[in-house]
Amino acid sequence: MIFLKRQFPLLICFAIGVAMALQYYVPTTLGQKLASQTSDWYIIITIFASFLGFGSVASVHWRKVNARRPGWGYSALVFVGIVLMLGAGIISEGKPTTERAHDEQGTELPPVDERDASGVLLKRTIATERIIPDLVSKEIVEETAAPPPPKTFKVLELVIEYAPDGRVTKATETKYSRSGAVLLKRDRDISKEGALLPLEGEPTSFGWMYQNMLNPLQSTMFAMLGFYIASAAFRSFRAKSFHSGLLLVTALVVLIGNVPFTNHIWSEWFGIHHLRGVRLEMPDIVGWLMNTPNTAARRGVGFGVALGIIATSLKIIFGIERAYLGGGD
Amino acid sequence: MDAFFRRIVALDRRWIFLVLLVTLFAPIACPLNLSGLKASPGVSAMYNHVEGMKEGQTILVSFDFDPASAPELEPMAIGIMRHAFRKKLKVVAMGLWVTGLTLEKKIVEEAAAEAKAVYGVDYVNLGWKPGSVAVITGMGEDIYSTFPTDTKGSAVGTIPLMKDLRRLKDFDLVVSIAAGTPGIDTWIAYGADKYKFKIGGGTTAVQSPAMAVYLQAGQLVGLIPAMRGAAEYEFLLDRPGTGTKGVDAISLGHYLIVALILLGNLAWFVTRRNAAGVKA
Repeated sequence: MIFLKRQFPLLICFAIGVAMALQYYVPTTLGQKLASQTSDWYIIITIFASFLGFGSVASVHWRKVNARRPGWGYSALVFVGIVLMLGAGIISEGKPTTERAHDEQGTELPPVDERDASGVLLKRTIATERIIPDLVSKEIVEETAAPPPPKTFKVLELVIEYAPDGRVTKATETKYSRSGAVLLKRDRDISKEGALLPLEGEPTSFGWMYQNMLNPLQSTMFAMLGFYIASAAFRSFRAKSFHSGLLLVTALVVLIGNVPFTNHIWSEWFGIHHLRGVRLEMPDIVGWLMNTPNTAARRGVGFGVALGIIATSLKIIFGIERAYLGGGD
Repeated sequence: MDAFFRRIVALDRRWIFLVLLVTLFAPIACPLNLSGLKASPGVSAMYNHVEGMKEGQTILVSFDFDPASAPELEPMAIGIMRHAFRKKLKVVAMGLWVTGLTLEKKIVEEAAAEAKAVYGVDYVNLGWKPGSVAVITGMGEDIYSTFPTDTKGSAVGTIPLMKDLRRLKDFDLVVSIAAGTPGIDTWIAYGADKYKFKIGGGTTAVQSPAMAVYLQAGQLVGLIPAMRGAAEYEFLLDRPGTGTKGVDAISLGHYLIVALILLGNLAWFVTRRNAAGVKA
């Protein structure tokens, strides 16, 4: 049992680690196949890992709710959110709109365009068609004793009319029955999103929640950072020493310099374009700060991080670092 | 005067929130159209690269962001899509962030409808797959096995546009519009450096200093930084959009933060000096 818990994972880790490193630096057909195969495995493992993540989140919040710890209501809301979004996602099959393309509305055909003598597009017709179900085809086969080509029928037709300047003036939708009879004919509201898409349906519950809940909530959370940054800058960004003063001056130059209007003031109002023969507009100053001291520092950090990752990876591959195996026997 | 600066130092932060709110909203309600907008080298390089592509060439646009960063990144995503369709490039869209999938679909389909592009012929939407690094390396080897179907459920190998697009190096350009990781750096480390394809990017203001390293090293063909970069791209496209509208608000926001920092430091210096004087 110890072998399965300790040595076997280390063996897998060593074999995969060495193989993946080799396939990167030694490009062979076998290596490419291995990379492709392991990519698929990785994707499958990631999907299962998301269940693990879900379990971990649920466990943490469930303990909080169970013990009625301060803020337990927010933890309860986590479950409400998960159940609602997951339920809506499963019901809607993860689709934001009711795309009935392949089962109800058919497959989109290439558009047919009408143009004037000078080639300006005046009208575009997009149709969708469906193959007659197998049962019907089988009946035809039996009757004719020869395999006929797949029979199709037009399900939907969308005619978009354009003004000479390219503006859409009208979009008319017609739905047909299998026999070719018109079931519905209506003008679409061209100001609405997706009005020119033949197969687009109504928002699903998942799409509605994404658009009206997740989208504004995430945007609001991110936008609030701007307010906290402004407040923090006012209260904490002080020139208390030479170094903090240097940082402050640099930050002010980058902040002001990144505003296009500053360059207008600098070059048009003050007339500063060159200094002793060197181009010195505001974007040049900001550009120098970003491209020289910034990139130098970033590269230093980048090298440090990369070396750290290499060292840690080697320790994991050779079984020196075993924390990922967990504790216990 | 001392009392005034003491009040400034102890200012309730809600006043700052209110002033910032008004500063940001005012130019959105009444656009100021502040002049001085000029394309920066990274944005110009990106625009010139796309502009230099020939009709029928292929571009893969990866939407690597979520709704949180959408106000900052959506304008440049729209700009890139409009430019690609204007140049009659063949566009393949995808994303590495699951929460950005719906945004991606909306941006792609609106731009396609506007350009009268035909699905499967002019553009394709591959959607999202989990395991960002594995997705990139998988696409480097074989796109058909990484994305067996597109978002409409069609087999990718049967879509006319995808006929000659088997792996990442078959694309003439890859563009990652990213809010973080996975994003531009992931595409470079696991994709462009190994599979040798050209890549450009667009990112948030927070991320752009980090991505400037790749632009300077020539690993990116161009870089669009944040809302300002989007406004510059719209300026080059001669098609003002939400980026241009937003840049006024961002500009005034920047000026306000600079004024607040200066005021805060002035108040701090004066009150500290006076306190030292009282002690002496």
